[in-house]
Amino acid sequence: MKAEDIVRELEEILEVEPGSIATDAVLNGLDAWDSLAVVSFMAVADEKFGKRLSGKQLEKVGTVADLIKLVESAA
Amino acid sequence: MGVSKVKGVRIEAVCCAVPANSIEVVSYAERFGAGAVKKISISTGISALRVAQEGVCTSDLCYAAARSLMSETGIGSSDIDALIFISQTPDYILPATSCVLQERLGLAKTCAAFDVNLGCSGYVYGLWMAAGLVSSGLVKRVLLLVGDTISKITSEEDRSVAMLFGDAGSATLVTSGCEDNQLFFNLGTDGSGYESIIVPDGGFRHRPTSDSMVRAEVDGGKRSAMELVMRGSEVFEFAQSQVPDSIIELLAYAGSPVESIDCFVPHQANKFMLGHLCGKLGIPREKMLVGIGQYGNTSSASIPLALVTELQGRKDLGNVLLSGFGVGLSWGSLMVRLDSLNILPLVEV
Repeated sequence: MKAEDIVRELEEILEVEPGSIATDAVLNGLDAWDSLAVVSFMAVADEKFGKRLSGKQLEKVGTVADLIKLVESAA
Repeated sequence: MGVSKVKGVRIEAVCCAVPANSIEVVSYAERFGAGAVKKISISTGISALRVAQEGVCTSDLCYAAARSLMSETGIGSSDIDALIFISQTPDYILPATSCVLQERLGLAKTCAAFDVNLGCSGYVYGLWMAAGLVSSGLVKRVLLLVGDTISKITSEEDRSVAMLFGDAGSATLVTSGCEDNQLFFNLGTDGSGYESIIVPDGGFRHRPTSDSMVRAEVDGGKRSAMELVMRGSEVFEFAQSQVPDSIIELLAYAGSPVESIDCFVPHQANKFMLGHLCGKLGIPREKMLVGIGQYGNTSSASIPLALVTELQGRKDLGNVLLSGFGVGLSWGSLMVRLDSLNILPLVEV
């Protein structure tokens, strides 16, 4: 699992062009980062990376870089 | 402990009733935007909801289902020894709705009647209680009535719940059966998640005040303190970990490999969650019942409603896994062979 894989999955969920999201992009407050996007990302993290994420933490995540860190450190 | 088993009990018949009134999810496009509504509908798998009219309660839906079940099975009102009503939308704070239903259904005064306040896990809990009562010899026949009208406690201005919940009532007859018939259960509770799905005001922890009824803007939706809050990501976290773990534990206890499951009937929360659960358990999608499309998430009634809408008239269902999970947080799964369950036609009220 590489950081680029995480970003690619995120781009697919947010329905944006691959490569269009920078790691310093702010997720918190993005219209597309809604409750549906959050659970979709939780499902993908489980299915593709074998990681179980906390919904509470995901909802508060700041930037894409913070998201990557969250996934990498998850159980 | 969680796991338990019961022998010699038969789930004899099941019937469900829904409001005839159907609301299309696309009708919310004006309020929430066509794009958002389409995205939600695709993810949840819900196109329409059955919504009870003003003055129609859960008890009315369960009453209609019970009347139909008793007529179709020929069971007399005096033959019912216990009536269990499971719902989070009872007629009154008190008395118990089961008492009101005892009179409406003309059951004997010797019938034991009581309510249980559970939602998504309610049907499996109900079968566990009914099976225990019958198998212990305390009673011979239990009429289990399970249902909800969650549409009455959701804000139509709250995008996170407005297009999710439909209304339904069910009636199930549990009697003694042949000794070979085993029911395997796994139940559990995690009260640390009690706020994940909650109606904050109206009970005794927060008595209703005039402020309770005022809708406020919360997380992009408007709702009052007497309306349902559902923290979707917390519920999903629970559904993707605790629920599959408890099902795997049940299958091991029952000595049933995953391949032996002929039919998987999960609580019809939303299609996205169900697909994920199916994948985690390694159950082929075609073995999972999905009945949510035209009825929505009907809370405690969702499992029996899926049986009725998708399998009506079918016998020889084989090894069936029922699994209810959600509000509480509470969960319950049942593994049982259902070869002679009488699945009756859907009633519309």
